[in-house]
Amino acid sequence: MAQELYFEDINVGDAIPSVKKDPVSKDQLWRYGGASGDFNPLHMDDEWGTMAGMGGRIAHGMLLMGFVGQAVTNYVPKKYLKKFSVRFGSMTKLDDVITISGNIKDKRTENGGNIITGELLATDQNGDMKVTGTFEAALPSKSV
Amino acid sequence: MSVYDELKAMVGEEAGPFPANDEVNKPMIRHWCEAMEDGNPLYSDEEYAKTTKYGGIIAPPQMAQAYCIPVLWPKQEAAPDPLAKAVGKMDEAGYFGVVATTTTQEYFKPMKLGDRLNFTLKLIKVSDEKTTRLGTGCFITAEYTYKNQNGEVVCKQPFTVMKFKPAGA
Repeated sequence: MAQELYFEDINVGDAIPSVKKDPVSKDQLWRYGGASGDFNPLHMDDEWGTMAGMGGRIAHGMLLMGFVGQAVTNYVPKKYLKKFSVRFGSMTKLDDVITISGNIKDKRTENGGNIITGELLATDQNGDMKVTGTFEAALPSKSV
Repeated sequence: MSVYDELKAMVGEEAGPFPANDEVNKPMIRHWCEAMEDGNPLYSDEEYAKTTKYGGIIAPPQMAQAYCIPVLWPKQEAAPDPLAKAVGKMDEAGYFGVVATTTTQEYFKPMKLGDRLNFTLKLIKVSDEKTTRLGTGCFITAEYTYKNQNGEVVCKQPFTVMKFKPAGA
């Protein structure tokens, strides 16, 4: 869980603590299918994934968004998180080991709010980009 | 009229509100965290959650969509929505490929246990014809707006897909 975070303590360029996930497993994709209601065969069935030209089943994009989101909410308390975006890059396959890393890109005071923005990157064990993300959070100030 | 023009003419069409099948509840939150392998105690530990500004367990913010997915059984007639209609028109025109490209979630109110969500879906953008390494087609953006039982917006989520004719097909 995230520790309390103050605007004054954040600097542009600060690293967001990285998160390394266990290898993506069939079991995890089944669990995510049940949790999300998304049983698209592309994520459940290797034959289907092969027919679709993916070389087997692929992980749900929203599972990857969840992984990236974990790196965000491990760092920024949920109550300060305003906006979170992801761009899906390449497909994630079984046994891929996903690591999420990132840093702070900007901090500014806007309409009385103390806004930080961060960028994140999820890569696999080969360093290939899977998903990129950005978030925006409004932090408290020590002075008020 | 090209299929792209037909889609552009649909921008602004909105469907819903569609009610969630279940209220925000602990078992679904647990299943979600088990899939994500996310151990944040805000989603599972009542004692800890009581000490936070929420005063109790909340759902992970990304779960809004999970509460609003249609039931998987028995099969129901899909409610007409502008995204499905746009995707269907592209299928008919031969643009069979589909890939999710980007999505954003903007958070407003937390999802507390017992909340009952609903959502609307609005077609907000259709691009001109584009060619990427996948093929030729267009980007279609629809925005989900999730609200709770008090009419408060919980989350807004624009979601963009590319519908395309695969390169070389």
